[in-house]
Amino acid sequence: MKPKNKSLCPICKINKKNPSDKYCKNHLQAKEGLQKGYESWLKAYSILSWEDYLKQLLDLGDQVGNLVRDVVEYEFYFKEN
Amino acid sequence: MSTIEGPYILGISEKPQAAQRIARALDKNNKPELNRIKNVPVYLCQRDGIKIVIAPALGHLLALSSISKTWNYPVLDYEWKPNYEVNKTARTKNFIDVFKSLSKNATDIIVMTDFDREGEVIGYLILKYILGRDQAERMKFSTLTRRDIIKAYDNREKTLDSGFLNSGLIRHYVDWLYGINYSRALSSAFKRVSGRFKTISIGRVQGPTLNSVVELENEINIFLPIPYWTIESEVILESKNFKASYEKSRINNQKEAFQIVDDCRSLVGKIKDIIQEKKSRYPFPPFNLGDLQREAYIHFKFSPHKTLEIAEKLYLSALISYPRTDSQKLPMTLGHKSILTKLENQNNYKDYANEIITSKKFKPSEGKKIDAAHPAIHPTGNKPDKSFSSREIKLYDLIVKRYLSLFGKPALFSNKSIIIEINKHKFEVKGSEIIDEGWIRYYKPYYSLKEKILPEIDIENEIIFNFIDAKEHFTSPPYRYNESTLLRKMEDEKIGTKATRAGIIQTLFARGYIEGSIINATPLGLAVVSVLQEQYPVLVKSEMTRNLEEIMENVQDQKKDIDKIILSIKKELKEMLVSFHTKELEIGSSLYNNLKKSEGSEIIVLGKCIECKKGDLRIIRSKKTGKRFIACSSYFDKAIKCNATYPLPSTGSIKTTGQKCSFDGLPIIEWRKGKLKKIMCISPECPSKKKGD
Ligand SMILES: [Zn+2]
Repeated sequence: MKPKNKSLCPICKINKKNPSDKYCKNHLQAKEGLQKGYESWLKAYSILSWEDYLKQLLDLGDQVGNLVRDVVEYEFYFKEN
Repeated sequence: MSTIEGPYILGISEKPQAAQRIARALDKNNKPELNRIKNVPVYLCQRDGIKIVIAPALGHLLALSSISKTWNYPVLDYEWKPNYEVNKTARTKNFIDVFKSLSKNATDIIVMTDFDREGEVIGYLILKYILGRDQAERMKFSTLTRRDIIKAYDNREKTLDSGFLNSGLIRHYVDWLYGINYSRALSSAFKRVSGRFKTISIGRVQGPTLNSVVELENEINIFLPIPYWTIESEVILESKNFKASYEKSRINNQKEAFQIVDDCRSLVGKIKDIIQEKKSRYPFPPFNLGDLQREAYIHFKFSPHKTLEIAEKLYLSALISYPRTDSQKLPMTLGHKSILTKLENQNNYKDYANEIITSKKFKPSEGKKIDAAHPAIHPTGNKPDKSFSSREIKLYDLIVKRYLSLFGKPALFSNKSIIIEINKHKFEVKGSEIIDEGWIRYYKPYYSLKEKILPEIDIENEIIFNFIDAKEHFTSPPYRYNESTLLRKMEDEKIGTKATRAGIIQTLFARGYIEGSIINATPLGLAVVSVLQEQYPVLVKSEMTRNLEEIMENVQDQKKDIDKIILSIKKELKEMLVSFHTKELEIGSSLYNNLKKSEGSEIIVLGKCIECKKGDLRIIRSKKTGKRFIACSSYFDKAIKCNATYPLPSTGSIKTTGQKCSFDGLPIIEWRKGKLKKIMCISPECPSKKKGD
């Protein structure tokens, strides 16, 4: 296996703007929306773990924007270290 | 070349079909003499002892061309040239030759082109550059009926319309300047980095239009659904079931939604109020082009471009008035009584036209929008013959019925709302009863009212609910544009004009920047916009285009000196291009990288789909995720929407073999990864794969 390239977005393998960023520009924007959305979801359900939030979004399939779904899949299946 | 004996007045018409109509109307016996000169139909009419020769153009006969022959930018100097010299496919040489030869014996010239900016420019350019004159009279008409043409001839103006002419000319100059310079700048930036030539062009209005598509796409890509709840309920009124709506249409919290349901668990409420009110609805305004394009899209799925094309044909056949209009006005001078009397002779409209004539109400209702040159689109009353296609007849029917509806009485209906309270929560049952359909009868089937009659019931009555439930929903992403909504967006952004918008959308399709009836930006479109957004946003933002639009519009109103304005526009453009030039390398490499990516996602067709038997099975690579899979192209065909997909190994190279699997008829592919090579059917379920290989 090739060594992981730290300057690439782990999802789409394009160059990150800033090596310390987690994702590329587009996926970062999606991640931001995902985080903001969590607050709305929390208000809606009163109790909801981040895991359950991601799981529900996975269940929603196509209704979730492509870039957000990428991030959800990535964060759900490849847990952060 | 044969010619016609003078002296005569020479009429310049815009198209052969219009020339024929005008000639028939002007000739004293309605039988003008047809002369074919170099295969161009030229008509000779006799009127009041005067000879009138009418020759057609073929739209524009001249085009702008760069004076300098070098391939640099900025290019700021241009000249008018015969368009067959500029564009080798233009078949206009004979038309130009005919005008030249007819000029010799002509005492006077009358411009008889469509009365709008383009018509004015077409006439002026022929007058100046082909006939070598600077003086012409002008006929102004809104329909090609005999009545209007004779009126326009008798009342013709002594000169061309300078407002239309100047605003038309300035549009040509500005579009040419921006088009050629953008295209050269982008292509040269690309060439500097890639070493190869590729035309990358994006017009002044195309840029912001494409940008709107891409921005919406981005919005959809980062869309995150948010949960909310509605309270769904049904009540029994006089042993019939009715839907009731809860006082709050949307509840953002699950607990609250469940609490409401719990509060109402008795399912027994009381009528607290019954509100009844009479309402009237007035006809929709007369059609201008935008409204016609929208309505035709809704009812017939005609693209705005198609609608304009058909409307143009109906106009040239003298069935409707000039379609390129913003107006929602229909002045009394149009002679509505006589139009209605003519419609009375058409079986489809006989009854309603007769009803209106009997009622003696000849004043149509109107909208607010005005247009300096033309009234709203309306029928002339002439009857279409059998030569019209069903699409043409459909559009004609829509236009006639809209027109008839304008003379109808307001539609009257009575709305009733029953308010039911249950444990302090309010529910409402809404009903509506038609008292008089009024104008709606005339406009059917393009509009109808739905009736819902509620039973007579008393206040304070006890009411039983069948159910009261909370339903969970999620917000949905915005809809992608279709041609009709994209046109609306252009109108809202104030970019382009009524006459050009539909064509600009077509150009974006033709250049491969957008695709689909539900419009998507292609990888190429995304690449071009994302580069411009980052490096040179002025080309894709609406502001500059809108400002230019305003400046050009003012030329028409105030009849300003256009040379001065062009000079300042050139100056601004030059500054922009100089700054573009300093960033050329950056722009070029980002264009190169983005295009390489988009070319990498070019579509590979493997074979026909066995599910729908219509579409192609293609390898699709998502540009965003890099994931690849096989999907049927009919997925994008609304009528089929084939869902067939097949997985692919995520790494390694895939090639088509052209062969079909003997088990299931699906395409066989070649998959290579390193030294590994496998020839296989694309289906994971294929029996060929269960034999241990
Ligand atoms: Zn990424």
